[in-house]
Amino acid sequence: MPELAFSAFLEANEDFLRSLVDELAGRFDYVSLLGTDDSGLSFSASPGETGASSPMWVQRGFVLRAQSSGRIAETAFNVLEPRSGLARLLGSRLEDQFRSASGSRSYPPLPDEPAADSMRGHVALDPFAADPAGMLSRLAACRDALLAKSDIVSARARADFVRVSRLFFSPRRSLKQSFMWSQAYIFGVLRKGDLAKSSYRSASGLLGLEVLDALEAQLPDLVGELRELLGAVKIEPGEYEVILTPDVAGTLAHEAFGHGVETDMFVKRRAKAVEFLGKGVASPLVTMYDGAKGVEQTGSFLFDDEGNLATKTTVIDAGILVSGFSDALSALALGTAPTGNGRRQAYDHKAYARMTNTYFAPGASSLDAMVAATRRGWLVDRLDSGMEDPKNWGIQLIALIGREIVDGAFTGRVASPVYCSGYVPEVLSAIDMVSGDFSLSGSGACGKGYKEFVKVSAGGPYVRTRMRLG
Amino acid sequence: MIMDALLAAISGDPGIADWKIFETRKSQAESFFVGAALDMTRRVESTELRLVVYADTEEDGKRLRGEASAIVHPTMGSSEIKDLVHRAAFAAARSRNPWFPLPEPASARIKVGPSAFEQKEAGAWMAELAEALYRHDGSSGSRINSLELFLSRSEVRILSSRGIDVGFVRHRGYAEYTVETSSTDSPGGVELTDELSFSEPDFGRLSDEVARRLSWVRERAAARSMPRIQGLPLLLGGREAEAALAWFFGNSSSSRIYAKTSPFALGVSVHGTEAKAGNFDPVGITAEALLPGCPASAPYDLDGFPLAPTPCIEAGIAKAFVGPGRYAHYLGLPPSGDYGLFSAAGGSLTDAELRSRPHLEVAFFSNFNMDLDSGDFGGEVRLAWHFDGKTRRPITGGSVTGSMFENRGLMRLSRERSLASSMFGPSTVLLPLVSVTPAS
Repeated sequence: MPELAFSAFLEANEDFLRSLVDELAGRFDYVSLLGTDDSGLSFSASPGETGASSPMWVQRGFVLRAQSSGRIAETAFNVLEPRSGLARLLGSRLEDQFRSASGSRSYPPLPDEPAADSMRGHVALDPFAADPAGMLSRLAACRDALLAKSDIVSARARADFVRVSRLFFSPRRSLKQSFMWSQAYIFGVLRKGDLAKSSYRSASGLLGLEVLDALEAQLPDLVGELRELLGAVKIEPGEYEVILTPDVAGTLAHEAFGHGVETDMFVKRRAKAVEFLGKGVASPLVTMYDGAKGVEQTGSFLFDDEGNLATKTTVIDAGILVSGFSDALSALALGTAPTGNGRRQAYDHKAYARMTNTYFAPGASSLDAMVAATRRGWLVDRLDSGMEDPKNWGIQLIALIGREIVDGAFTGRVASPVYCSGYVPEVLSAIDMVSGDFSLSGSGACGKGYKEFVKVSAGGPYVRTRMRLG
Repeated sequence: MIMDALLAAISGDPGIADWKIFETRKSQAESFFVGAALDMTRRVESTELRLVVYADTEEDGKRLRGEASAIVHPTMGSSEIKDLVHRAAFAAARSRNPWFPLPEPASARIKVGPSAFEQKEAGAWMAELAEALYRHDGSSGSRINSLELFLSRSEVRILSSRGIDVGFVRHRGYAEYTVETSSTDSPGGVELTDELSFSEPDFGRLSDEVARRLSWVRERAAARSMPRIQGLPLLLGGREAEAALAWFFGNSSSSRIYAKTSPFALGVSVHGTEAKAGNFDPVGITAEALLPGCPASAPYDLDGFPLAPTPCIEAGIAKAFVGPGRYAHYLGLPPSGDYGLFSAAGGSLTDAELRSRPHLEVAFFSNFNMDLDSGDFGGEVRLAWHFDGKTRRPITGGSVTGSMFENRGLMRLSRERSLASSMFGPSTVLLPLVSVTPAS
């Protein structure tokens, strides 16, 4: 597979950007610069229309971080003019910030251990080199295949391709990376009288045009599922045995213990997890990881947006809460090593401790055995959304489809939507079967609070536990 | 200059039939607090141009129009811009949709601003804003755990090949904050996280909003687990009341009508054919260009079409659909503009009357979800009050779910109205048919 080119723009300005850091290094105790040039293509087909656009992830800009007498300030910009006086201008802006925030928190010195590395990703079929007509016609074909079915009133398909190019300079670090991630979706809306239901299929990864192959392969399954939703029932509220599919289980991992061990939450004393480090929080069958390193999905990279190299963190090991993951500043505040989880929505956003690829480790059970072991429960599939509660350990997962299981077999009844809630330690402790399957889904984005979206993936095996459904 | 280079590239590309440019020059100050202490500050200075190009073709005697958009960065040189424009024009020519016109130049129909924030640069407001947000910090045992404060000033300019060249200044203030208090049941205490958007230095409103959340988190600390509740109506306020009414506003979108995802039709009741007069409060929804205090207020939409209050639903009957001009053209409707704000008419009962009968009132969900397509709504409860006719008790946990299709012919709206996030409308919405999952 051909290697992806690094941004020509960043490459052309590399010496100048390096000179900015060198010049400002004399004015502050620490200075670093992140440069981004993420380009993107987005193609869509909705009823009666097709179009091409730029995905929300497209960006080109810079953020300078400086430390002075322990205090931290950042300034983000996307113009490199005036060329001759830019370092002076940016330095003055940072000094103004330090002056107006004289009482701000004092951090230990930001480390600047030497590092020089680079990474270039590969894709089989580069969408930037392809004729848009081909992509639009494939998405339109997905849309039309759904619209040809009775009761499916609306359908839309979409594919996003983002070519990421980042560089990070500090006096002793020089890092560069370029890779591509993609995601594609097909949605269908079914209506009969006052009943309206929808579902989707998605594909994602460090892929080029080949992501469309993965999407198209799922189309017949979606048609069948939409038909089933016409007969969807409401779940009688209560606690049930549940089997979570890999994307729903991964989101349980993400919401339940992912957000709760982002170590900037430790600094704010918002994470109940701090009290449980080294203690049992889940069934011994549960091992959970987060890391941009170790798997290849949309949360993978070489270095984070603070210039720290990616790692793989074991969050829960056989039921014991082992570790959180951190951005550079929370690691400084806590006296721990950064884990390469300092991520920004874009150059003009703050870096926070964020997830990357979050997943449960596979177990030894089979899905068939899990179904056979279920007396009265539901298989919960097709994630819609999830929400964290790091301080009080509530959990909310919304899925679009539940499949009823009674006495070890599917009954054929489906429910939609399915609201799953529970108390995190109870849900994780109740996990009694984990399948040997493993898949990651990276077609969503993760927010922190109400904003700050970053690309992540989540998944792992099927897991069986107990949750309250409504 | 980037704009000159972009316009030159557009005029040099014969494949472009029409175009529009949306330019934003933003200056933003940011302060991050942990507890009451300033953690760090940030500044952002950025310029972004979003270009949309249209390419016209003909097929079987039908006039077709394709579009493609691209982000133009201010660091792009003329050859890079030329290449970007050419690739966008090429992609536009590959998408063949029914033809539609772009809006012609027209004067603004409403005046927005200037905001009082215009008096000084964004960074100079941060201390006063923080002071207002922290005014009630620590009152009666609850406090602000952390707060992120943003204030931006954006100069927006919209240009098009049809001769539109309009601009306006937008101020957006935003605070995301977590409040906490200790609790005998939860050793680490309990918390609530909320957000607040504003476009004016209305310090009183900011203080009051935070004070209300400080009070709510104390209620959450005292709350009991959600019991088994059946047959009680759900009362929603604030952002969730807005979400319920936004189902009507969102489905009044011409793009959703065109895509057949909206169940509404002009002249037809939005409450369903089964709804019986007197059993519900008919909704009245007006698309708004300006709601004082809302950052999304704007005299023009993204096409440069001048906005003005536009009634979409009157007394429960769909009267107009709003959205980008292309969908109005496709549907054979007059162009109305694309709106991000709306107002909703008050109902027949007062807040007090709605609360006088047994009910479940949810003040805070973990994440209230409203599906515009299916009408399904719900969320996990962080704070609610259960009123059994005699006593009003705070409760937490569990979840509430329901369907707008089942509730639209039975819902009640309060007479009192207030500003939510993007809506000025009923301060309370009553949905009678919901399902409650207990906390244990």
